[in-house]
Amino acid sequence: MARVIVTTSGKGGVGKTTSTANIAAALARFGKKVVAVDADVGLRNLDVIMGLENRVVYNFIDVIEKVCKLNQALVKDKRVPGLYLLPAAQTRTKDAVTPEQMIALCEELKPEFDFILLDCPAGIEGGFKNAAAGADEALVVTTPEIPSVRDADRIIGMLESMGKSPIRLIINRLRPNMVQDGDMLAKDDILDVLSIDLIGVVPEDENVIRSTNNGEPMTMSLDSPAAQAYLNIAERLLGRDVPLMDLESYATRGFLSRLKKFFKGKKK
Amino acid sequence: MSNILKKLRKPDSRIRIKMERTHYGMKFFLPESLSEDELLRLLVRIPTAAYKLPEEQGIALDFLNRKCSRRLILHMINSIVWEKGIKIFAWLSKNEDSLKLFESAGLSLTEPKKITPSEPVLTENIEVAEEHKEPISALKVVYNSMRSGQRIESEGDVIVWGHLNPGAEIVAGGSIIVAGRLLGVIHAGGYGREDVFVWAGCFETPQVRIANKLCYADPKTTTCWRKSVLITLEDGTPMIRENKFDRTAKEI
Repeated sequence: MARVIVTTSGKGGVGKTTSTANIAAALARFGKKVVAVDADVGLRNLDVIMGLENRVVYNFIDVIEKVCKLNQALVKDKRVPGLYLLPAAQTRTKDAVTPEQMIALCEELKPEFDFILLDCPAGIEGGFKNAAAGADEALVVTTPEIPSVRDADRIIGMLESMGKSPIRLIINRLRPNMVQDGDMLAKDDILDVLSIDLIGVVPEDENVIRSTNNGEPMTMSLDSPAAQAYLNIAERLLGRDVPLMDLESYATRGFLSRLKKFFKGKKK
Repeated sequence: MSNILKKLRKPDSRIRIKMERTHYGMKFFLPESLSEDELLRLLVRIPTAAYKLPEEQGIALDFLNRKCSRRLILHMINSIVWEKGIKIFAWLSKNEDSLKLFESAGLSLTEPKKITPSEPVLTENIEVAEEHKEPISALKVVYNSMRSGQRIESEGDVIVWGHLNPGAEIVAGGSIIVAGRLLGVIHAGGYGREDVFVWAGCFETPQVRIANKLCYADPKTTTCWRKSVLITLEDGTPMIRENKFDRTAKEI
């Protein structure tokens, strides 16, 4: 039976969809059968980030409304065995699905997969409640900014009241240099407020934009700090004891690579 | 020439209109040291929003010992009272001539009376209300941190045995204790009681409400920031005190 995990944050633009796509791809790389469900009805993006938008025919609303069968709506990623996408409808609104229907959909998916990752929309209204209803566990994504942390706190409170457990935190887009300079909230500051288990810290990485635009999750190629961070998160989800990345060394590497780039430019 | 210079001269910025909160709204004490023109300019400069009070409330103007001219009263009514839509309950003065002038203009000379519960008309109402009132629970204790969006309203005292995160809110009729970090919004004495206090294990909130006072704390200037504090009202003024005895006890 699959573990159903919702990826949520409260605030928009913190990296929920990117995290879902990358963790799903990483889990599939570890040999698990994974489905990433885009629960953001009306504003679907997961298909684009996973590079599968051209292959979407049906969506999960069609499955709920019995327009098609579940297998017809599932999109198989041919690059990684065991990775599937269940897209959302772009032409419908979040009212098109109820929490009960979402629970029924997850129950239908459970026997087929090892992991079901639900990409939750931003906000605390119907869309969030639908996505969270079907999940047992939660990954809360936050960036090291005060509004994001405050919204994450609100979401954690709601998830706790819904009985979701465990609720684990992903700190996304951390810039070690800015933390060192005291211009950004540090990991411990965030944990102090949110008081939940940390499952991973993803450093700010320009490869994220590149991979999003190319439609290829970073964890498929693994040549960036963010990709490594997502892979570590996937390993921790599998119960493996993986230490947190030394982000300070990445900060230094960033500086050195910038220096290298500078001299390369001079040579030309 | 001297008249023009007089008009151009700005009023002394140190002289301010003192405003006092009253049971009927606000009372403005209009400084005597300013000329009539300067006083009018100062009153006009107050933003209209500052004059806005709840519907049943209004303002009393106290001219102190100033001898008011008919021109001043006319200008005040025209350019301030009517222009800004203010409700004036009373025109007060210690000067006999000014009082006569107000009286002849048909203006009210007395402040609205404070209606106290001891007055017979209201006592009945209060007794009726109390019959329907649920018993006040003296103390509410929360044994975990309160997260953003969570809210507690209690008629008694509240203790949070954890942090009060940003976005969380407590309104208590009595006192409030937040054992951990105080980052959210609190209102002690939310129903008007002034004999209440706020105690915070780590004071980090920019705003505290106590009885009918709203106090702001600037992290850059507040010396008690991120320290254990006690906040009380003393003669209507909010006072914040840092816990220093803890440290002394450890040193001993």
